[in-house]
Amino acid sequence: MIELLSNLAIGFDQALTATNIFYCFIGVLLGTAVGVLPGLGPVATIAMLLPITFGLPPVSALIMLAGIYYGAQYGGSTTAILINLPGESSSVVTAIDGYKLAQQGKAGVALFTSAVGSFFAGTVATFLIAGFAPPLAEVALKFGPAEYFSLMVLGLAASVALAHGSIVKALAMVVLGLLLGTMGQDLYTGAPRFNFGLVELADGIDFVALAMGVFGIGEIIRNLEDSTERKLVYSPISNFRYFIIGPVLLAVAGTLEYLDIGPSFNFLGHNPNVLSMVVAVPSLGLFGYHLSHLMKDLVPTKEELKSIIAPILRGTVIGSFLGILPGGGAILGSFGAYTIEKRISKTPERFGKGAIEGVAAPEAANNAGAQTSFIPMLTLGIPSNPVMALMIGAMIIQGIVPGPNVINDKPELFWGIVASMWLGNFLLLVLNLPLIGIWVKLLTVPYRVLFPAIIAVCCIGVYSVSNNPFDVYWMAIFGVIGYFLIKLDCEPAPLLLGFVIGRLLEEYLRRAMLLSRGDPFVFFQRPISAVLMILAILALVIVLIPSVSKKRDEAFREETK
Amino acid sequence: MPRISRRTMLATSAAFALTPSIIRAQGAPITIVVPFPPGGSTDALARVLQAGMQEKLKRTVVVENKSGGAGAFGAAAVAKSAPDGNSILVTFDSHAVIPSILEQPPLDVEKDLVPVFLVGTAPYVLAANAERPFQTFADVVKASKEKPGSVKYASVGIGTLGHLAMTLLAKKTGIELTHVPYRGGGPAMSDVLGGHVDLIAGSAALVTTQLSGGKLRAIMQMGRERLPALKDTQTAIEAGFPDFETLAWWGVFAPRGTPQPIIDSTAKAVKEILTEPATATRLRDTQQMTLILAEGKEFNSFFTKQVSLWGQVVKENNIRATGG
Amino acid sequence: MPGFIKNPKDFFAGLLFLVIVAIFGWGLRELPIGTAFRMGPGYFPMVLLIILTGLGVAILVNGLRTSGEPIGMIPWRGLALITFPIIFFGATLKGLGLVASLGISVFATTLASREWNILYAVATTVVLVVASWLIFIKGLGLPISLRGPWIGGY
Repeated sequence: MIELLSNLAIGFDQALTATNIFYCFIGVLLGTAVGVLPGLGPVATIAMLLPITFGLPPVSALIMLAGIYYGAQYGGSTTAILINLPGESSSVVTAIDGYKLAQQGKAGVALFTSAVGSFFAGTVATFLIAGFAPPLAEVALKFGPAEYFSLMVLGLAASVALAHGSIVKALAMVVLGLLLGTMGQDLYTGAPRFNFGLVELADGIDFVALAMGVFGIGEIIRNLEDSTERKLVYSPISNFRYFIIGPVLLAVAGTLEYLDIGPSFNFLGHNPNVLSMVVAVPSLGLFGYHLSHLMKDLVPTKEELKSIIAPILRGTVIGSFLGILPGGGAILGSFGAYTIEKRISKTPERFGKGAIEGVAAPEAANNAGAQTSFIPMLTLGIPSNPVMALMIGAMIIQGIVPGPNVINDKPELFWGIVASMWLGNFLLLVLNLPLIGIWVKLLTVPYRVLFPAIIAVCCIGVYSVSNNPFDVYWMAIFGVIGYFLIKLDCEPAPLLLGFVIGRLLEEYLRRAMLLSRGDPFVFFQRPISAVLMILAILALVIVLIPSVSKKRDEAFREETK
Repeated sequence: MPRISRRTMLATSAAFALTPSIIRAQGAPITIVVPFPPGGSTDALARVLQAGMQEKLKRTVVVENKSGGAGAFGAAAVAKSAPDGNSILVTFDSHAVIPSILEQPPLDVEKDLVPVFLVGTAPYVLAANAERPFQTFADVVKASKEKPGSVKYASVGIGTLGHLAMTLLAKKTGIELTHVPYRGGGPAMSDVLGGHVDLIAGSAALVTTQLSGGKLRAIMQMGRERLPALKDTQTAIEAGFPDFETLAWWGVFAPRGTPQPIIDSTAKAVKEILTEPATATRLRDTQQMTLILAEGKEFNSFFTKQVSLWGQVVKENNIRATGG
Repeated sequence: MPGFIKNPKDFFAGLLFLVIVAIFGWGLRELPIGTAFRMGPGYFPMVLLIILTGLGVAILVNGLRTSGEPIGMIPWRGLALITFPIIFFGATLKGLGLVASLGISVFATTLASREWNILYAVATTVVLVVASWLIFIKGLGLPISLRGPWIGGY
């Protein structure tokens, strides 16, 4: 415990320098921005900024890049809630109930829940990393190909809970997603698969094009069905000017501090500028005042607040654990958290129609997973996703050898990054709570203006993924397919989960079979894998039995009529 | 506690403000194509070169990651672009295996591209999970002879040099090893550290970083001489395989037909960047790289030797991009 | 609608899945399947296709047996006025540049609205083109030109 505190002290000593706060802020700001805009994800942004980090001290560089990563996770949820555009695989789940809430005029509540849930989860996950990173990394290593395969199967079996309609259709959508995921090159041999003679399909379908199509475009087409176009209900924000004055004054204070005009004084070893402090103090007051106003408008009701606490806690636990697994566990975090909430809820029928728990749990899981996915990278030098691979690249460029020695050789780097995560989460909360007002305001724009805007953003965003017109065509095609699937009561969320997991599932299956020399019982012989497999089978049996008996009832009723 | 460095902050702010304008700058920028996803060793090298070239050539330089097809897609993209020095390829040892491993390679690596600069080499290293009883390669041979196929090794993919080297060693000793391919060093290493696979044939950088963790043991290195970081590990030559050498290498290529002066000036710039002591040290520490810094002809002869050496291994062992 | 289809939503969903199975099944022909020990590129997709065939048939049969709601109206006009402008945008962005390509696409999509009038359409188009220019080209530095080579740009 004492060691933990002294380690965290080292970390905060690093993270709380003005320079590093600045870079952390720039990171989360940029991250939020690219997260909100579909297409341009954290990988592209970080890759673009790598050369800039060259001249920075290693700690600052990594703090900024980490900020982009979790900022983007966060920004993605905003568009998922507001306009049904999940820019990242992790926000697919948030879109299900978040968007429904927005349609009911509760976008503010959903965004608030997402912000607070993320912050709480981020805080817990940070302390988890600080206290237990090395032993947790050990746990992660216990997961071999067989365990990952079973975990993915469990995730898929549980994902039928994402749909609130027919279970058989949900299963078919999962399998269709898996199938779409196999398009492109074969993982091992590089053999082209299902490209139907098109060079443009050599790399398969891009996730962003698929998600924007079936969610964003499909939804727009559906809204055009109504003769009176969809009007989003919104709760107006009182005293909008307070949102502007506080941040503006804070920016003025920052500029003054930056330019260092006039005298400065000594404060705990720092030398803040007198003038800037004179502006900063009242601006913070104003900020607090408008925050309190905001709360009045956006804070959930007591019942809602009560109903999100437990989901946030559960989401944090699930997300933290799955995030540790470098082989793609983090993807399952938000899906798993949603499924569990729906399962244990007394009113599961509300899910998919605007249940606040359906936003709280996955958002917490998502952010907790984003934090704990640093564990394998920081303690073992093993990247768990492309963003982590880029962070390792940034370390190499900085001349740091990533691996198990970082924690001992560069404690200030390790603990600095850990402490900056908490700081980054705090900054995200401060940045985003006031923004909620602006976002909700955005929804007051008439739909006939909003939908061309969504299309424009989707088009440019999808195009920018790889400057390939075919991605845009695919988005249009999937928009149509997505629309018809929704019309046929086939919900798209399980499809997207299948698509995201497909490649991993196949990779682990093939590797596990290679290791077991073709013996399929390997999944039941290894203890962790066996438990996961049994859970998966149970999950499927539980959901299928009621539907079978229900169908029997229906058939029976039919006959008696 | 360091006081805020205004200069750094100013520089970064300026850099942020400038990024868009740099990309939009009039005239085509120099594009460094990396045929692998960002984050790997080749990508890191390319970004070191990007920053250096920006400064040395006073031109805008962008890095583009075009991955797929074992690095062939990116290479083909460069081969097809105009030979005006504005697009160059920074690639890795797998480049030499493209003609033999792919059924329909999208380019002829020897004809469509000209070698510009060989940056450096690093030996491949065979390492074992520390709980396995393997101290030397002879132990692996013994265990495999007792139970053919029982020893499993990880590589970063079918047809990568780690896979080919192990195939060659297995053939020379008459043993059967089970090959488990991965996509990238991270996942492969993860499974070896976790004990799911026995051995890993990977680059020196991948292996050496894990040794301090105590979960991995290097059992043989495939360079001619022992690396400073692996001075207690025998080389393949010492282990009784004369002339056996498997080297990772990093090189720069340009499209065929690029005018010689442009090639020369590119090579000169790259050489200047890499001979800066700080950069050289970084590459040695992080990649275990031995800088070679060979230009045109010398690089060409190295490259053609690599192509024929591994091409022969692929052909003789009928390694196809199908099956495990 | 033929009388034997009792639940059109299920019937057509099942049919759709089976059509997809047929398309992918055709693509599977050339892929080596391999063995369970050394799976080839075709093994995993083959398993998926078998499962999807089963699920598709189950859904289709359900559409014949149990009754359900009709599919309802399909806004063909809106569908076309959303899809084609997007494809137009993809096809012309490189050639026409952002202003013309996005301008035409956005203007065309506004036609999908039932509350269309010229003032609103022009205003929306102008605002979106300018905003996209500011955000994506000025702000994020995406390599997209404003005026493409087809109309005398670069």
